[in-house]
Amino acid sequence: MKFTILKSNLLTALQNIISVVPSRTTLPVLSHLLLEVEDSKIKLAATDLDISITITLPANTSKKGAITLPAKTFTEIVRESPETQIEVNSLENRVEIKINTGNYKLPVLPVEEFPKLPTVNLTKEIKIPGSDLYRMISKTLFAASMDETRPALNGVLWQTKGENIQMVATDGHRLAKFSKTNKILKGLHEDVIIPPKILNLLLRLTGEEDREIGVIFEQNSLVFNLGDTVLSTRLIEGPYPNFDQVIPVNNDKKMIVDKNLLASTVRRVSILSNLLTHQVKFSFKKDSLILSSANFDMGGEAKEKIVCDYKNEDMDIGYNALYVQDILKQIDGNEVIFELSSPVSAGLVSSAQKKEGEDYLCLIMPLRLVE
Amino acid sequence: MEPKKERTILHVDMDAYFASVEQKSNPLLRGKPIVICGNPEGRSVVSTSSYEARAWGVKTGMMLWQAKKACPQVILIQCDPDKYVETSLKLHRIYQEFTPVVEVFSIDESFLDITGTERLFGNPLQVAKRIKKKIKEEVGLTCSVGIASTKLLAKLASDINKPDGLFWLKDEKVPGFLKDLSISEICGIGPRLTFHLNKLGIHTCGELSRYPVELLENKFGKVGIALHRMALGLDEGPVLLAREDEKVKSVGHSITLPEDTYNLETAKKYLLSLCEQVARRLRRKYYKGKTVFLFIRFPDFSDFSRQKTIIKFTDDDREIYQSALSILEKINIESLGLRLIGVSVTNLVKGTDQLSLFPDEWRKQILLAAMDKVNDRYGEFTLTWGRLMYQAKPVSILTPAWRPDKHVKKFKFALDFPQRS
Repeated sequence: MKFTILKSNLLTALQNIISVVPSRTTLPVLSHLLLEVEDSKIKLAATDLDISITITLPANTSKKGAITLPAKTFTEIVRESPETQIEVNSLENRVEIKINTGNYKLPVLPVEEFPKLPTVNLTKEIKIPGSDLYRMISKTLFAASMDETRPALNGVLWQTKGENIQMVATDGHRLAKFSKTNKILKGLHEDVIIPPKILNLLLRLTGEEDREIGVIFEQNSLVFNLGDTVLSTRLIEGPYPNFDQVIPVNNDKKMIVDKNLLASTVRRVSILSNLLTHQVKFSFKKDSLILSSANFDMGGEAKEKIVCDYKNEDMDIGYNALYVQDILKQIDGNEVIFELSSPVSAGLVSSAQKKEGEDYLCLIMPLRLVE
Repeated sequence: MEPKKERTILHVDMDAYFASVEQKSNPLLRGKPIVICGNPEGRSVVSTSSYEARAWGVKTGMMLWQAKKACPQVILIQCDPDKYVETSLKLHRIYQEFTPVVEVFSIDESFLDITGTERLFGNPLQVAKRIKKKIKEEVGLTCSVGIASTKLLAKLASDINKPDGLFWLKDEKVPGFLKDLSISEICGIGPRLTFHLNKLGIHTCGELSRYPVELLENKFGKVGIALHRMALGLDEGPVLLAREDEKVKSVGHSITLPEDTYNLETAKKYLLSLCEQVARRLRRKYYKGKTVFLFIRFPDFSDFSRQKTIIKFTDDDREIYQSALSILEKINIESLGLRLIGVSVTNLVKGTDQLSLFPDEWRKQILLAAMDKVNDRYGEFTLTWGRLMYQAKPVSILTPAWRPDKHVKKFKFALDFPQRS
């Protein structure tokens, strides 16, 4: 196995690969990456047994073959190399990396020890616009739970409903649901729950650029084909909780407010909220909203009043300021709508400027206020 | 700065408290060596021993078999927290007659700031004598009283003529008194600090006070400065009133198993019952916590502890159990064995209640509230988890952190007695 490649090309690929390599593992080979050399191209792969990544790069290859080598060390060597061609050459039980300033030798592990990567069945591939996928993921992912005791909530639910595809995430205290008209994905009938790690990686790799992304649904896994990069993930086992039943339909108290004004005020007032609960009190009054917080440990208090459009009776609701901020970051447009019912029931948050063919809503449960 | 006011502080320390209470309530035990412990059949340690037992070399913290070996005729008595709490409340009431400034330091120790009460009750010595007499007459117990100008010195003074002692450590006598006193006698200097100070060649308070304070500060930080002051008997710490809103930092329980176990299932049962106790105490005080701490002692007396922070605040038995269990399962109980297990919850917030979107979470809360209601009325573990069906009910033991307001549920009068007097 032997090839040469430009440093910057290799480094970009390695930086994506390395994010999949587990930092601590009981299986030594998982800290290695698999390097396969074929005709004029090399394939880099890594896995943590839950997700895997394969990146194909054009390279000047002179001898085919495959090895595994320590991912982190290899990446460090490449990162610190001068911007020139790098030559990688397999020796007996070792690999040699030649740069113009010298050479480095690393140990390898037998290729057979590296877990088998899922095969990509291109016949089942469905192409969807990358920008749609990006939007759906970024609008929902933040609400996924990190509580390991309810694994289903750790992921993002992806399902088709009639003409729509939608993603939903919730941690039991807040929920984000994004649906979009899409006829292509009709092939997807079963709901899948996708681990957040792969979605974060996907967001990083695709960005908002508009390109087609291939999606392949397998029995227990999901594959994203970005062309030169293939991501695959195990799916989280359901069932996903019945979220439709908790989306309120009779929230008749409506407040409309400038989104950026609300966001900056919440940020400011929350400075003096309890550091553990982040509780900020929202006092809804006629055409105004008073935000207040108190940190009794420190002896601090904050209060601000902003103008809003609210015509119903006065009401005080406590919210976790971080939850409110997370939601406001994802709401499009300049104005945000809160649809409320009572201080102990879910509030609906959405944008006042809805996009054609899209439906995005967030739910937030209050903190019970104790006087 | 205001000129410093001279203070007069009493430290009242009950003599062999739990043992004396038991001897008081059961005449057959009087004059006999007795030991108060968690479970006489089990393997708990000596919580308190009577002076008769102490004469045989029985000490607090000894294993029960050691106590029996030291004193074969020793009588083992199971600890009865309610009895001690009730007696403590009586004592508290007596202290309140002399001064409103009473700090309950533990169930059997209190600090009384009697500054300015001379005209009412006479000089400190007279006050101390009156308190001792009143306790003897009304409660039937003896105590040792130390009088000094700081809490630190008063506590040292009460130790001088124990039992039934009384000692007034006057300011002019302090330097001579502290000169040769071992540093480990000072409240606040534990075994670890003693060890580190000994390494510096410091064994007595005299040596500690002469040691350059800068060097102490370099080694121990802020504590170093405090150590220097302690060695001089200086302590501005006020006598703190027990307050309802006292900030609780953690809630925990531990248990020494009746016998070592090498069975994970058995360990899990004890863990669950501890988590139930911890969660119930959290709920009773309207606290929720975020960090679960598991403490384990192996049969060879080596320790292990680890904590796990969960994403949300909880007061739910099962959520605390799940976190603690995830730590426990990483330990190979089958080969290492288990002697003692403890769980505590820290990172507490009070009165917060993040509501849940999903009905199954509400149902959990409703279930716990119902369990609490039953157990409040019919006693702990009346309604419990199926896994604990055939599990012996844990014996509650009073912790040093006991305060009069902690038994609010059982002793409702505890809340209103200060007003009544």
